[in-house]
Amino acid sequence: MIKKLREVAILATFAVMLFSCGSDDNDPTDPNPPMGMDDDYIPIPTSPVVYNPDAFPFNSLSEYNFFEGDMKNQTPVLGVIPYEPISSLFTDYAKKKRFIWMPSDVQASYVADMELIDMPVGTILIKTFYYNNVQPGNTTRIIETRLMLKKVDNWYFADYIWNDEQTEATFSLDGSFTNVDFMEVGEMKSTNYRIPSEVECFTCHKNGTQAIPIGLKPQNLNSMYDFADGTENQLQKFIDEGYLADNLPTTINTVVKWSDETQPIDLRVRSYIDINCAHCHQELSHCDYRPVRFAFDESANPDNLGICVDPDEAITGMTNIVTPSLKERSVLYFRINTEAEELRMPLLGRSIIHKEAVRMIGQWIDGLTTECD
Amino acid sequence: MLYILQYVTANTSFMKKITLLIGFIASCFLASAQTTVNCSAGAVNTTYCYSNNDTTSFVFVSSDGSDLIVEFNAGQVEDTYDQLIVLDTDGSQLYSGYGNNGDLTGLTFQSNGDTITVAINSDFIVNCVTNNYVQWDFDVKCATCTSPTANYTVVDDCANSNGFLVDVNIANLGSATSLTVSDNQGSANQTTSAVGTLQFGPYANATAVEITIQNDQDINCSVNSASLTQSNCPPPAPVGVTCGSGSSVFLFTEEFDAPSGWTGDLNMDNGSWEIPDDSGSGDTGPNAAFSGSNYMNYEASGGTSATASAVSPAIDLTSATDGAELSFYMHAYGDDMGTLNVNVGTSATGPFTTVFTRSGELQTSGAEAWAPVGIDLSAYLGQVIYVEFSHTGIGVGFHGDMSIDLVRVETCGSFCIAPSSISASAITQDAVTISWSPNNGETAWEYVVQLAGTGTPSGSGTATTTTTVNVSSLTPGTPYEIYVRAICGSDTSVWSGPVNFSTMAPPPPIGFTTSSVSTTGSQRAAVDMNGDFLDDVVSVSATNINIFYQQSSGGLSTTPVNISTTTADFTPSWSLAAADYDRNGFTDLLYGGGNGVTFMKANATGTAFTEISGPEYVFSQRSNFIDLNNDGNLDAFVCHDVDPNVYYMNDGSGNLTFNQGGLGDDAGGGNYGSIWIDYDNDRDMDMFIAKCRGGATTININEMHENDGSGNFVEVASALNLADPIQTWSSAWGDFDNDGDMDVFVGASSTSNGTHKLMRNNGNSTFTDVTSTSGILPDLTNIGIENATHDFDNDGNLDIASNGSILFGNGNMTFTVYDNVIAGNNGSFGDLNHDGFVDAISGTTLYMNDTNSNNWVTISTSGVASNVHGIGARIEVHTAAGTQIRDVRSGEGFRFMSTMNAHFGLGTESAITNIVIYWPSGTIDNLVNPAINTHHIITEGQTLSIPDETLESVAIHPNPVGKIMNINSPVNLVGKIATIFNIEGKRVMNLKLKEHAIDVSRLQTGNYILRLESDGKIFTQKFIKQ
Repeated sequence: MIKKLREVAILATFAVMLFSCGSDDNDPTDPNPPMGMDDDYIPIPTSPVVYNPDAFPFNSLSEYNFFEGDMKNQTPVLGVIPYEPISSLFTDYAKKKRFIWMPSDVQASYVADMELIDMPVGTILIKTFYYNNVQPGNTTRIIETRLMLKKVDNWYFADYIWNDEQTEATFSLDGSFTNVDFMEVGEMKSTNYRIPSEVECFTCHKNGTQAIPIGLKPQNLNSMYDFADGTENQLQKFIDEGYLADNLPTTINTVVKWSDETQPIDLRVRSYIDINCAHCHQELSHCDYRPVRFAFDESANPDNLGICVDPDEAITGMTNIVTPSLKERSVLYFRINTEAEELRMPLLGRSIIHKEAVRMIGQWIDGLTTECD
Repeated sequence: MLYILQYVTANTSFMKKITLLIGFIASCFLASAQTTVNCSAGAVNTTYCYSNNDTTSFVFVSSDGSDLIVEFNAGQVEDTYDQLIVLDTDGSQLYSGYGNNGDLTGLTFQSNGDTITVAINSDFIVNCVTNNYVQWDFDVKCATCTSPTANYTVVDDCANSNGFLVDVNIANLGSATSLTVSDNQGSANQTTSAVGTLQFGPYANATAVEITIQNDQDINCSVNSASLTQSNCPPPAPVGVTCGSGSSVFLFTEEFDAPSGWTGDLNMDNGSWEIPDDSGSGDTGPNAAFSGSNYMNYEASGGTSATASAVSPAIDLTSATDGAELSFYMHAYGDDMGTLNVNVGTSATGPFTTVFTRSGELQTSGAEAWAPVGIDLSAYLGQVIYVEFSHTGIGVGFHGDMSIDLVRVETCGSFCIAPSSISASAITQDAVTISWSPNNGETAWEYVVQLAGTGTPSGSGTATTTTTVNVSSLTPGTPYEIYVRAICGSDTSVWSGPVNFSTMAPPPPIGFTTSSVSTTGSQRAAVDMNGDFLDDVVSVSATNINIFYQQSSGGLSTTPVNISTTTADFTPSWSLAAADYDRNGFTDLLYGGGNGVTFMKANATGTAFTEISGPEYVFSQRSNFIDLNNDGNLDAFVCHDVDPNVYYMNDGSGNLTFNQGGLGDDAGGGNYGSIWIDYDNDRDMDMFIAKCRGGATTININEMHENDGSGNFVEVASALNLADPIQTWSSAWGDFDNDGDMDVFVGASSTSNGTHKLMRNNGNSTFTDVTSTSGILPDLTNIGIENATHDFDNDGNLDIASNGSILFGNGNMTFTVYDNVIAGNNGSFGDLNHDGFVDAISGTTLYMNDTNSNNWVTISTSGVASNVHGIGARIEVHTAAGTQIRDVRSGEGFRFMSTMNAHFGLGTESAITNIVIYWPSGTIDNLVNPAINTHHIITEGQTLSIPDETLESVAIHPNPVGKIMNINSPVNLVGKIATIFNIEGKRVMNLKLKEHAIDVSRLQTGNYILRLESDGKIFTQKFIKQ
């Protein structure tokens, strides 16, 4: 579909040129005189997204025109492209739909496998958080749609809170709570879901003093995705769509899907903590003064994973950040396996325990045979 | 309630302490039925698999009053965390520990009386049930007789039966006159009435043989062997060396306890030999060393296929005669076992000739006996040789820790051999007993005990003719090494060693005795809740406030009062502050939550709380109560992690108004540890914020907000030299050198932007970094989020509690560091038994100060015009030794709330000249000659003020005053505190004089009183502002 858009655009430009020549000069020698224009004219398909960075953020989500039809169906309009990181952030089991949109005349470029793709001014990232099987009616409930807009100087946040009727979402960056009771794989769960305030957005989405996205790195997107018009590699889709310059290396060091049990457990763990923890545990991030480094390209080093590393903050009964073969004495395991606000990790975005990930990380720690000095 | 008293011995990293159980046994009797052991029916067997937080106990009583014996056949506890406890008949402790690194097998206890109790005391995590530990299996029997003792040896019989024999060497019959010995394989019983060896077998390899020795006269004296087996036929055992004359000697002995001279691939992690070490991995390696406490093992972790070489030091066979044999013990348990080659060469770097090879698993459990291996070295007589142990992993799995112990070379001849088995025992703060074993009848030695790491002695040592020597005059808490060599006439052996030990560190000046308090929820405070000025213990959950009130008779109540609350919107996960902000006599609480702030306001009887939660997003960190606008009503301040700080102004009717901005306005927050102090001695509260932030260069800079005396705050940290980038969550303030101003210890939470810092207040609004001379570094190695100041040993010098360590102050900006004296998170501080010494509580563990003979005084400030607790008051205690100061505050450290009482240690001072209190209202109280060792509750204005006679002739002009008031004085007023009160007596201005003039332009027209003050003495003068 992207490809098509690019080709069509070139054709259309040509047509406009012809038309201009003809109308201005009316050259009698022209072998293709401009009559019959109306029949041959192919309209340039343009994305209907309403782009007005000066007016950002709009008061309501519908004003952007990201979606067609019933907005709650989240069917993207032309130019709004869905994507999904291979391993994704846990947010109290919320399900997510993610989209990217760019103005027509710009494109992103590859920087490195583990770096954010360099997105042009005007890029909008759209992420909708929702739950299926919400009780008592076993219905779907969309909670919020978060936006990030790239302007010249920085990325900007917006958040839209959906109404009960699921017909509209209204801007707020004040932060709030909403209770959600839902069934998750046959188990009743309940969360006091946190809708973040602007400073909370920034706490995770930052590099030094600059706001940044998190997931849009080649390492996270180098995978197949079922687009409306077929299954395709997401990076290739971006290229086809004209959203990404076609200069990617032939191989990309790629994370694995953490829940894919056919993958080696250390890669699954490193992929999980990359997307869930690295935004605070890498250089220039919120907690970069702690010894761990959880980004995928750094976590092959056992020291960076905290294996046999003393924690800065002692927790009663814990020995190392990761105590090989003993998850129960490992700070990492303890912190992801607690709901106590002052102890749990990640610091923001989680209030209930991600049991499946805890099980994986426990299994990984228990399988480590490193001997600490 | 269960009380477990523990004596803190401190200053080692192993902080599981000796546990004394008082009250424990009583509750055991109540908690679990006792079992009667019938002395005529034999042992009672018990099995048990413990769970988390398990305090199960088993009580046994003998049927005829006999003493009881407990014998552990098997069982496991988690080393260093879960204790086996055995109590005697009178409840005293026979044992509290972890067996042999968690293995309880073989432990035996005997009661002094008819009752014995076996109990577990496990912590909150890791247990027998979940972690597949070997469950407890112990026998209890009557001590009506003495059991026989025997050694069991597995004897290889492959040559004859392709299996093995078991030798039962009966060393002692005990009280029996005859014994019946049997096995569990149906062999014929053997009887004996004498010591000596009985042989059982042969058995097929891998048979699990258990031998029972029965006292024929008394059923209670039957003993069982552990399971004995030989899994596989072992390599050839040593046969020994027969000498033409004299007896053979072990020319070379290596125990791998203190190896020296080995070279090769040593201690390089996976794929190398680890010496000395143990396997450390599960399902491979022996349970214990063959001899000594360590052995050498190949580290197979990581599925390595590396070949590791360990080459012995030179073994000199040049004067050896009549044969030579290399022997060692081998343990090859693990299904990923690789190949061991033993090689001999005449150079340390080879080439080597392989003299022994063995591949694959030999033993099939860690408990199975080590296999002795013998190799004939006769071919090397007359040469200097090197023995190489070369092992190659199979490249899969980690169950391949080939282990080697007790390598020896036996030969004939006359040698001067360095001693082996050097050991250090009876280690005290300044002395040690060292001993060793001779190897060839040597009778003279030299020893050296020197600082660890010094290396092989180049000269001679101290001569001795005994193998045990006491060495004294060592330095406490210091690592040492021992070398010993043999002296054989004019010949000397090489030095043997080093063997390392450390002298005991001295105990801290004050220890703490721990006990349990069954707090529920998150324990957060040691603070008075009911207006009796005695600190109570407060713990909070979303719907409950759990209070252990301190009794006027002393000590905490045995049961708590639980007060239900509405479900708090925000819980005190990040911090709790307390104060009676509505002034009704009962303390209110502030919950600093991750998404907002909740206040819990106590009712008029302290029996219920009303929740007040604001809608504002606040990522709370440290919180405090403080009267920000000095209107006599306590306001609340809360550090914001990711946004400018917030505060709640109190209108005096108990209504709080949210404010953000003006007290630390970094957009990114980074505010962690706020603390209110009067750093510049101008009688108003300034605020220091310990700050922290990753990926930032400004947000993490610490701040000082100076109060100008009129409620305006200016950030001045940079000018003070306090604008530090240390990643810190709290600071500890106090006058550490007793020079009259507040110094600060900034405790690092991470060392990524600098470490702990001690800053001396110069008294002129500058601070100087005195860390390097303070003695704090490098001794204080732990970092963390909790730092607070108290005088724990009441010596008159303030100490610093830093993440469980206590830095005992010497009163001169130097400190002596003692680690792990209290809980790692410090906890809440208060005097919880009203004995004048500061205690701590963390979670369910109470750390009660062991006290000493030092004198003290405690002061509670009860405000009248000022806020109810006198928060912000400066207190001076004057004694012959000098002056100490404190600021009354609510909220210090990071998370916890500690006492609002001001506590002073007086050391040996037996009298207080006076106590001066400078109240926030401007009131000054001066108590002359108050009693020591007393808790004084001082109500604002209860004493008469003392006029300053030197100021009698001071005059104000002009009067009425316009913009500038000039003061004529015969004495220098610079540095004195000028306070202006309105006609209602309310303080409206406050400043430290820098000149003989005051800018009063901000005052409204009216009548005022000027007061000049220094050292608690005052002069007042009325004036009119026009």
